[in-house]
Amino acid sequence: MKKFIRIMLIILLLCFGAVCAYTGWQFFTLYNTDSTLKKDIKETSEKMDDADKQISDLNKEIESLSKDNDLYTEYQNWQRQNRKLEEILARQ
Amino acid sequence: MAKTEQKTGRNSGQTVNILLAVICIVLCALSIYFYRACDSLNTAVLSDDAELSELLAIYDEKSAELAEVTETREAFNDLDGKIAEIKEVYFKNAVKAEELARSGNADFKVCYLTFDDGPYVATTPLFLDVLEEYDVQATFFCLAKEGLDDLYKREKMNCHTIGNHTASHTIRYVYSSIDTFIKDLEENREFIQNLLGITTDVMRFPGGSPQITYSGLNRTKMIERIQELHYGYIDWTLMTGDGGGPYFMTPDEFLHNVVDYSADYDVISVLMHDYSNNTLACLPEMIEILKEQGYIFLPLSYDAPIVKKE
Ligand SMILES: [Zn+2]
Repeated sequence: MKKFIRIMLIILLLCFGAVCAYTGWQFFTLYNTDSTLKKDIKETSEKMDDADKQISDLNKEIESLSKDNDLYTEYQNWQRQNRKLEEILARQ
Repeated sequence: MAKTEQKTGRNSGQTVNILLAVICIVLCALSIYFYRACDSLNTAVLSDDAELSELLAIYDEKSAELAEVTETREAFNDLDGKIAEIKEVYFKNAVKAEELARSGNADFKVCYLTFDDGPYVATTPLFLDVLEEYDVQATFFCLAKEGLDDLYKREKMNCHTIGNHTASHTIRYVYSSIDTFIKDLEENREFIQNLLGITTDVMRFPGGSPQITYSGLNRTKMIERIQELHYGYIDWTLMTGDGGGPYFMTPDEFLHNVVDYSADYDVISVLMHDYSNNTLACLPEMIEILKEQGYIFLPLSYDAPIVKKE
């Protein structure tokens, strides 16, 4: 009887051990996946904030650069005139 | 004694069983804990995954926007170099266009509108307005005039060619000798170079190239000298007649002086002056009629076939 109890306990222990190892392994895998995801989210958000800042800085720069910028206007004019002429030539 | 030993053995057997049972319970509890934790972690992973995908999509859009803005910002760097580059391409195309028009294999003709003796503070802006309205390029054969920087700059900004028409345009003085002429011509080149940073290489003789001989100078030697300095020169095919003469002419007469004859050509240059209000009055109609006749309007360059090199 005592031996039987011992054997039953050992079998139970092995079973619970296996279940515990399996769920534990799953837990750690999920835990790692989630931390990686959280890290990626944080990094992406930071990169996005950075891009936002860069865009707004560049836009500010562009705005001040294009104000009364004769050279820029001239460059745009030449681009337009060249496009026009190339269209005429392409038609021939 | 044997009884005691038996008792101890039974006790230790029970302790082991209890220990095993406790371990079983702990393992069971841990399993339940892991299982439940996995459940909530799973939900977290799913929502984090969705959040990340969303963020990445937005980030992609942001990156594209950033690339675009960076490119726009980039366009402001080395504008002088970029303008020089595109002008080179443009004028190669312009030469090709004139050659095509001359060959008769084109569905267009080429017109070089030219305005001499400017700029003029009162009228030049109005001429520039008309050209801007029609998005037409021309050539301004300028003199060296102080205090009109903005007008030279606007001519350049609107992609017109700035030609050299000598600094002073004083016929008696500039044609007094070839050396005097060259000195005056170079003075204007330097004036424009300092003001706009461009080297003029297309010139028009005040009064036209026949004026060299009228003034008693040697035409061949004069042309040699301007060639050495890398100038091409141009007279004109047609003119409104605004350069002064014995008769007063109306804008309508100016117009007909050009459009009544222009249909016979494939390539023309039209001589005008940006001081003439009558030319200004007929310019829009002139552009429209020339367009109807199939003309496109180009600014002059040294390489344009119409610009003479000898
Ligand atoms: Zn003149």
